[in-house]
Amino acid sequence: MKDKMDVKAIVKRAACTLALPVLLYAAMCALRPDVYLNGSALVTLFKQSLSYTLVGWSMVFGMSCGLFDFSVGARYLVAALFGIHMSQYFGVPGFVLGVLLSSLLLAGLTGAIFAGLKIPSIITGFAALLIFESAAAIYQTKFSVIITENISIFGRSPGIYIMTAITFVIVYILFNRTKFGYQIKAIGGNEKVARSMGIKAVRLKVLTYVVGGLILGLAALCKVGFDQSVRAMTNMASMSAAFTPMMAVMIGLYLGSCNPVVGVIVGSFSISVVSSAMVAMGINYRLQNVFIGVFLVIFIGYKTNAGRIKALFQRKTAGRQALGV
Amino acid sequence: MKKFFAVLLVLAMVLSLAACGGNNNAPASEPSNTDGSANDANTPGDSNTGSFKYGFASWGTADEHGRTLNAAVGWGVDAAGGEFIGDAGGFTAEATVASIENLISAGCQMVSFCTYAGEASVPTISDMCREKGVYWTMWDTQIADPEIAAYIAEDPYYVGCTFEDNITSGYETMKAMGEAGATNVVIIRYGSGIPTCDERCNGGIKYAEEAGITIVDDMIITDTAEYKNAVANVLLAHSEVDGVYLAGAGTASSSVAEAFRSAGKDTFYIGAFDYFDGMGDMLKSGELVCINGGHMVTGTFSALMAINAWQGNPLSKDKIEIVIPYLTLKSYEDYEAYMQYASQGAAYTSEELQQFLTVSNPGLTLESFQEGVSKWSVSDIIARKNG
Amino acid sequence: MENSPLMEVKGISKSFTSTKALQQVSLAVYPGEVHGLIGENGSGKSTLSAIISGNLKADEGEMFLFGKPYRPADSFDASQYGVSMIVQEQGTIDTVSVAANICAGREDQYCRMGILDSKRLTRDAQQLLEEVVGTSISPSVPAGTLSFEDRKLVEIARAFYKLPELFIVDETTTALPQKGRNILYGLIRKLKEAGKAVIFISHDIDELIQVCNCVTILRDGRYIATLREEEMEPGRMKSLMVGREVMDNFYRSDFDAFPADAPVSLEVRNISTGILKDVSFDLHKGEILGLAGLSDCGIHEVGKAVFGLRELEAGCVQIPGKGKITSPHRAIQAGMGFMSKDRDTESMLITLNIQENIVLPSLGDLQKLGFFITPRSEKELAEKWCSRLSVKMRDLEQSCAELSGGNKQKIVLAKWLGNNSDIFVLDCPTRGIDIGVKETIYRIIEDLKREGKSIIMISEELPEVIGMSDRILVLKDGEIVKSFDRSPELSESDVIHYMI
Repeated sequence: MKDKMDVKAIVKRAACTLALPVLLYAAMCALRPDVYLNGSALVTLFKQSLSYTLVGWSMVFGMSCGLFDFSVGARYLVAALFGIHMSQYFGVPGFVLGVLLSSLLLAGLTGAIFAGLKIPSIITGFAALLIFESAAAIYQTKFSVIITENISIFGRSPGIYIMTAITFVIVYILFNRTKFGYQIKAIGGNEKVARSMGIKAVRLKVLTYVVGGLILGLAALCKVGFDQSVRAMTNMASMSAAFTPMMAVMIGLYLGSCNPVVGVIVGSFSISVVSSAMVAMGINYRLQNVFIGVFLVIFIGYKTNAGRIKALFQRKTAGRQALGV
Repeated sequence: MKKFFAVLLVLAMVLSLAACGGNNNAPASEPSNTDGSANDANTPGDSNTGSFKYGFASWGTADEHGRTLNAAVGWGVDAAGGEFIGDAGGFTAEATVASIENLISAGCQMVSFCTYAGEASVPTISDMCREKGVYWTMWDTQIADPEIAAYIAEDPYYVGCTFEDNITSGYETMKAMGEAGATNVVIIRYGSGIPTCDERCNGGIKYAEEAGITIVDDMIITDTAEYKNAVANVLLAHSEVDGVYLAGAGTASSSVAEAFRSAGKDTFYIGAFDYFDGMGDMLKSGELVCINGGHMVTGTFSALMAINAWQGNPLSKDKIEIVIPYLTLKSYEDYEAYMQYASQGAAYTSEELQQFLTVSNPGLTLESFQEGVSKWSVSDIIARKNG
Repeated sequence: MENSPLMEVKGISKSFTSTKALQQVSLAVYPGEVHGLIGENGSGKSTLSAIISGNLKADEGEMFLFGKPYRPADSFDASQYGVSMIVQEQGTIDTVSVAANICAGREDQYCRMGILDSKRLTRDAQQLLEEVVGTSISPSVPAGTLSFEDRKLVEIARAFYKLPELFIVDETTTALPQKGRNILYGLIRKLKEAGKAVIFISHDIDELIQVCNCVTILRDGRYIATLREEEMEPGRMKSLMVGREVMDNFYRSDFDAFPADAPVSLEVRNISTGILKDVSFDLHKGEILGLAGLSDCGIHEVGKAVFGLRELEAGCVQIPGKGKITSPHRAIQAGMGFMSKDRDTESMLITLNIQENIVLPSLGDLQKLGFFITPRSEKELAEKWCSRLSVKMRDLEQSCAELSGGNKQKIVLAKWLGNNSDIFVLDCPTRGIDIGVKETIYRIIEDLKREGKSIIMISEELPEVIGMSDRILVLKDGEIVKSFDRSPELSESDVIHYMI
């Protein structure tokens, strides 16, 4: 009986989790069956969503304990450029180590600024963004940014799927099966109470930067090969690289019916479907961000007010029953 | 007490802002020469000699185009015996104005900028230069707004502008794509309402209409990291797409190519503006059909124009407009020539550039200046270098 | 009891800026002892318990646990020493599971090679919940899905993760219904029998006498006296607390019949929402209407519904001549004020200062020329009411978070008095505050009645409801089951008979 109930609960949760992307994709299949009613479209969209997923995973730790860091895009740029530069001397190992080590270092630096100066994460993020963007812009002038076939393996099939699977396992374990994961969620729930429970909030927040940096490094390995282009940006333009993954994380955190790590995948895929749908429906590109923004507001608004909506339906049903309708 | 200090600080701030806004001709930096001209406001029509500072506002040197642009301006300034000062502001109008302020404060007698962020800041810059007696030019720009054009026409310190014929280049680029086999093309603009970008696209669209090429979609994407996904989405919805026309941000060509490959397409055609690292390989493979760049010399010749005016030898008593062709690369051989003669080394020697200065070439006229400038193609460069 | 103290504090002093919260307080708690701690608001008892439990550091003084110096770095460190505390306010994290709440800070014990054994963690939490608090709360659900009482039980289970040597209960019982209190009393007994010690802080003198072996009285941050079990007498305790003689009965002394023709100030007609079913009553000018019942019978929901904080499924609340009350904004415009049971989160903006809290609903009245508010007018309003209610504060700019419970309650009252409200809905107005302040609040309520204001007083303390109300409505399972008029013969058992 208990097993039966568990299976039922699992199926229900899975259904709630998949409802959003499935409904979106089904809608697109109905509108443009010529485009979406085939497996390759699904694969393309899923693959597209992976870059948001990977970067989103690097942000899920910090966002779970209330940290908003817009320097992710700038740190990615520096790490990617450094890795590409190292690949020109040391090949693939140089690329991998260059990306991972620089990403860890930059993340650690950002975390150290946050902890040392005790300033809000959003301010630290902006400061780091400006510094690292400028660093990337200067660094890019020192060498030719050429992405070779060798280092592109992490961004192409099957490399990108293998990397995503490895990153998923690492993130899932860290988030759900470690003291670190438990404690950052406690801090995100109520930092004051968490501190009184002996949780070292500041130390853990710095650790989220470092862990996030490691995951961003893994994401960068894939993204370089996937995008086939790394270009330094200025004037805070790299902030836009953080927005879409951040939206995916927010969807993941709000979903509620599944683990946030899985939720990020759902969020990323949903955003990819929405983006693709707008192109397929011929919506003017200038309006596309409007639609993405509206989609996010509707989703989060629904989740926030789900209880009230349910109560409204229940009252209406009770009212109809009372009237014998 | 706290309120008292707060009021005091506010007053101090207001007074300091008022003081900064006052007329102050003293330069921020030390003069770099002793001819007496460096820090004084120039009077239009005066002849000036000796060393000078030339200020150049751009978005920076992070990319190939920015790098070569700044270097090319340096060729001209060095040839004329001056000091090049660059200020990398960014892609906004505010950044451009701030760059000009910085350059004037640094003691530049001449400045130059581009309206890639829009024309609205031009009158402000005109006023600043007029107030400080600084000569100015625009590079890679042609003013579209008649009111702004009329305004700056009254400014005695405004010398003129250099610009590319974007419409013709856009036309030729789309033509190259069409001749290579493109039939269904997506246009990607790098910004909204940018005259350079719009002109390039208008040229391309004109050829497409004449040749029967279908423009499947016309997008604006400011972040090059998004190009790949955008093209992938288009390919999903329109599998017939076989070409992408990049109105700028040539560096995104490799992402676009990757999008085609991911969609299982091996044959596609990319036409682009703005050189980038890796364009040689793409030209070699044929993925890149045509790339327009080399318009770094717009900066060179706008500098030489300004220097002539500062030295008391304006090319014309009217405002000057010089058309400069793009250096169009359509093959790997073109790329190799560009790298040899224009990228790694100066496309012009000092002596060649001095021929564009009246002090070195007394017979120089506006017409001969334009003629010389127009000799800017791969074959022209090869011919010049090989004597 | 053994002669050596289990916990000894000597010469503890603590100041918060210019406020001296504790001055040279010394105390000894012995094994097997349940040591009560009582005092008015601002007497320092919560500060002392916070220092002992590691949440605060003393400015001066020493502490000894089993004769050895005791200097906990934080509350978790204190718990490692065997000193645990539960407080009145929320002490769980809503978004994580019950098991995670219980084992927070101890995850290392469940980790092998860095991976946490969540099954074992959950199992241990389940076992602890069953053994300590005897409940079937699921350890896997988020703590936020539990009722307030169940969350308190989770906190208790956490406090008993490792059987504490010293267990501090800081005014927790006032927030618990009887079932929860009984569980707590059971645990206290077990600790006593096991030779451990308990520091029990409460405002309820009867409860202290019932539970404790001895009680220490603090006043204005100083140690006053420790009374042994045989010396613990309510009158004596009250006088030591306030420093003067306190009458036993500080409720209303009159039993005048309320005029039947008094005008109606509030009409509640057939309201249904949540647990409430078809509740109707009238409130009259100059009337104190008491609502009595068990904590989950709906009395608190009535208060919220009447103030427009609950959307009604049926029925309406209206003020004659001013229309229906459909939202708090409408309620305030119509001259209503509301004091919630959950003071810190629902009655005041705890992070703002005293002045800001008091003037908030009156900003419209303070405006000059329709938009401009002078600092002087704000200050005058705040000063007037702080003075009238004798608020113990440093100055008007003191953060409300620093105030004692009683003073916070005064600020909430001041807010609505300053707004010239005519109808006051007071939910547990004297919860968690000491006798001295209770008396003050009762006098204020009486004054409001004399001025013709209308008051709905919701309380779980029957003596208070019976002592203050002109009329009492008894609720059970969301419905009004009985009405009593004020009478000297009315007893608690009469009311309880209908409550249960």
